Formats: sequence, structure tokens, C-alpha cells
Amino acid sequence: MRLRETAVLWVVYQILGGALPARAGTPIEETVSASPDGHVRIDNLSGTVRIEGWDRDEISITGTLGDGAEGVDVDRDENEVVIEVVLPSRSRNVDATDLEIRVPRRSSLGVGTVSAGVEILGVEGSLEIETVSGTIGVHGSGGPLEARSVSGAIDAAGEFSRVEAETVSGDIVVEDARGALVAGTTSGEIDVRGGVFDEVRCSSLSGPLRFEGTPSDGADWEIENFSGPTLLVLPGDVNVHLDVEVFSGSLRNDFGGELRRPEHGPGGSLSTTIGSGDPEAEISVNSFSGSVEIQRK
Amino acid sequence: MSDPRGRLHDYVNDSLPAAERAAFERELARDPRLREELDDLLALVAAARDLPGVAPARDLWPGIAGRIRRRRIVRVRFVLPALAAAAAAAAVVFFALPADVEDRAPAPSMSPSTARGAADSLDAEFSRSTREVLAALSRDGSSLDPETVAIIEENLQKIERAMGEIRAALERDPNNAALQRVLTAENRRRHQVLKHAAALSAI
Repeated sequence: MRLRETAVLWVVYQILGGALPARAGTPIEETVSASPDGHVRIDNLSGTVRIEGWDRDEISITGTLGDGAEGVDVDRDENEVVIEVVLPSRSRNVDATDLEIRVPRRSSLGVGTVSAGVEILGVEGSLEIETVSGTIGVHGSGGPLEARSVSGAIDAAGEFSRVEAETVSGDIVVEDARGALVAGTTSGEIDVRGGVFDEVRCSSLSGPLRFEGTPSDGADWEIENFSGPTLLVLPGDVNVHLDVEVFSGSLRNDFGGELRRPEHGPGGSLSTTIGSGDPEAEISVNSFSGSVEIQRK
Repeated sequence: MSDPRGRLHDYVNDSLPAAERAAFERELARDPRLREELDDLLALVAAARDLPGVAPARDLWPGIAGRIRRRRIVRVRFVLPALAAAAAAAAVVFFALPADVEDRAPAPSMSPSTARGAADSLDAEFSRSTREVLAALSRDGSSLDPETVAIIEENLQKIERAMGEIRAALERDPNNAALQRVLTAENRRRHQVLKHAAALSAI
């Protein structure tokens, strides 16, 4: 059961006990104490949410309340602080609220928005973000990231122990990450720009998938694209076993190996070992009707 | 042991004889991918049961829906037992085939026509739920702007179209395990988006 230590803090003054909405553009400014590695949840439907880790055991909330929003509700218990923008009932015409929040560096975060963009920097705990159409930008500081959107783009850069990113139509960009990567989209683009990965599960339905990275020892990568083009860029000195299967798309491989072509029609498959030593990793690439290109960096 | 993936459905249903169950569990311990497929199957069946309104606690959306001034609750009607059964049966279609295309699986215990019918039933349930959730989101009193509702609707349609294309591809290449996996992923994504939309309809 949730133990509430504090009453609700209304960070925006309210007229007549909060019966009327706050004024447009009302500044938000509040600070609450927090545990150094607690959980912080933030909900804001529209606007922006910018979160940064700092070296204090407190949470600072600043920003501007959107026209029509009732206020920002801050609720704290022993190990969790919940920050939410409160909307009036039956109101679609609420302007965007912009939040700038500083949290203890080792906090974990859960952020939910509808169209609000989310930006996170310098937070070391686990990060969970969900949005409908907001963009998600995270610079990792070592913790795991789980980001989901319907149409918003996801951009993750920096150090993560694990990245899970999923969209329907939003693009996914991952830069210089490490560890495990799970990325999936229906029609968005997946673009992995460098990094060292042990486990990879990348899947696209119709969007382009470009993956440039280095497999770690013992890595297991699985890259799948239904109809979009796939480009895999590997270092020239890599030692991997590579399996590629293409049903009807084209297949090109810079590293050599015998392409097996069907008697009739396009497509083909390739099973080969790249490099001079024993393979240190397994990579499989599957496509149905999209082209596949394996490129040497 | 022949390809254990053909026994996933029976294992989930607890209908394997003891010896086969023990052998299957040994395979599970040995093969992390089989473990993943079992987890996916269990998650899919559980997810179908979870569909109506109340989502698993780990999700953020119920938090948004629950804590941003709840003015009204829209209850979306689902036929739970039928949906769960359809999901379980449809899972045979998704998971019975081997992950390795070189290794052909034994035929699933359910006939293709039965499995196909179950998948159709699941799709019909999703389609009906989608209509109801979108109607709830569009109703006067919803806090969601029409653009957001349109985005949700458009993206659900994208998933539906994608699933149709994958199914057509599976008819051309029925033993393609990669296609099975992307179909499963799309099915899961469709469920997630719909679940989020249902939670937002309560705002």
C-alpha cells in the first residue's frame, strides 16, 4: 500500500480552492526533498518535459503552466515522487505545459506523455518513457532505457546497459550505445550509428534499417526487415559467423562468401564466416522483400 | 527430441505427458531462444486476457489515466474468454514453426484451418475493440485532441496493413520463421497501442 508522506503540493496558486484554472503562462517553481536513488514519475500530456540529473537529494521543478491546465501536482512518499500536470475535465483546449525537472542523479524515471516531447540527460537509473506523438531524446548515463512511442521519434545516445525502443511510425536513432539493443518499428526508420553490442534484436516492417556497430565477443545479433532496405555496416577486422536470408529482395555482401541463389526468381541466402580467427559472434539478417547489403566499414 | 517448438502450445496448456514435459523443460534450459518464444507465447495469451481497460501495473498509461483527474471511465466491452482462447489458438500460428528455417517443424497440433480461424477471431476482437476505443476517444468530454486520436487511428491502421502484408507473405513462404516473428511483434505492438488508447480514453 502506498504511504503518502505529504499532502499534495500545489505549485501553482489557485483561486477559490482551485476551482478555476491557473493563468496562462504561470511560472512553476518548486523544490522537494527526494531519496538519492528513488523513483520519479512524471506525467504531462502536451508541451515538453526536460529532466536532468544533479548531485543533490532534492527535486527541482520549474517551467511554465499551459493555459487551461489546473496546476502541477507533486506527490511524494518514501521512495517515489510523482509529478503530474493536472487538467480540467472536458477540456481539449489546454495549452502546452513546459517542465524542467532536476532529479538526483541515481534516480530511476518513468515518464508518460501524449504529445509532449521528452528530453533526459545525466540520469543513471532505469528510464521508462512512453508517448503517443512526442519525441524522445535521451543521453544515457549507464542505466537501461525503455522507450515507446506511437509516432514520435526516439533518439538515444551515450551509455546504456540496455536499450529497448519501439515505435509504430516514429524513427529510432541509437548512437554509440553499448550492451543490448532491442529496437522495433512498423514503418519508421531504424538507424544505429556506432556502438558495441552483445545482444541485438532489430526489427522493421517497411522502414529502412541501417545498422553500424561492432559485435562484442559472444555477441548474438538478429536483424529483420520485412520489406524495407537493410544496410549492415561492420568493421573490417570483425570475426563473426554471418547468416543472411532474403526471400525476394536483393543481397549484396562486401565480405565475400558464396551466395546461394534459388533456381528461379530473386532472393538468396548466405552462410559464411568473416575474419581470420574463430568466429566470436553470430549475426543473422532476414528480409522478405527488402534489399540487404552487408558493407565493410 | 524432435523440434520442441511444435510442443510449445501443448506445454502451455499443460497437456504434455510427464516424460515429454520433462524433455521439453530440459530443452528450455538449454535453448534461450526457445525460452524467449515460450515467454512471448505466455505474454501474448496473458495480454489478450488483460485487454479490457485495466492494463498491467508496470505500464505508465494507466498512471496517466488514473491520476490526471479521472472524470469518467469508459468501459470497453470485450469478450474475454473468446479472446483468450483465440489468442492461445492463434499463438500456434505464431510460434509453432521453427526459428531455424533449415529445420522444419512437425505440424502443429491444431489444423491450419482451425488456427487460421482462431487468428481471424482474434483479429475480429481487436477490430471491434479498436472501434470502441476510438469512439470513446473521439467522444465529447475526452481530453485528447482530435489530432492525437487521428494519430492513434492512423497508426493502428498501419499495423493492420502490415499484418495483412505479412500474412500474404506467409502464404508464399509458410515456413519462414522470421515472418512468424515479425507477425508476432506486430501483434504485440497492436495490442500495446490499443491498450494505451484504452487507458487514455479514461482521461
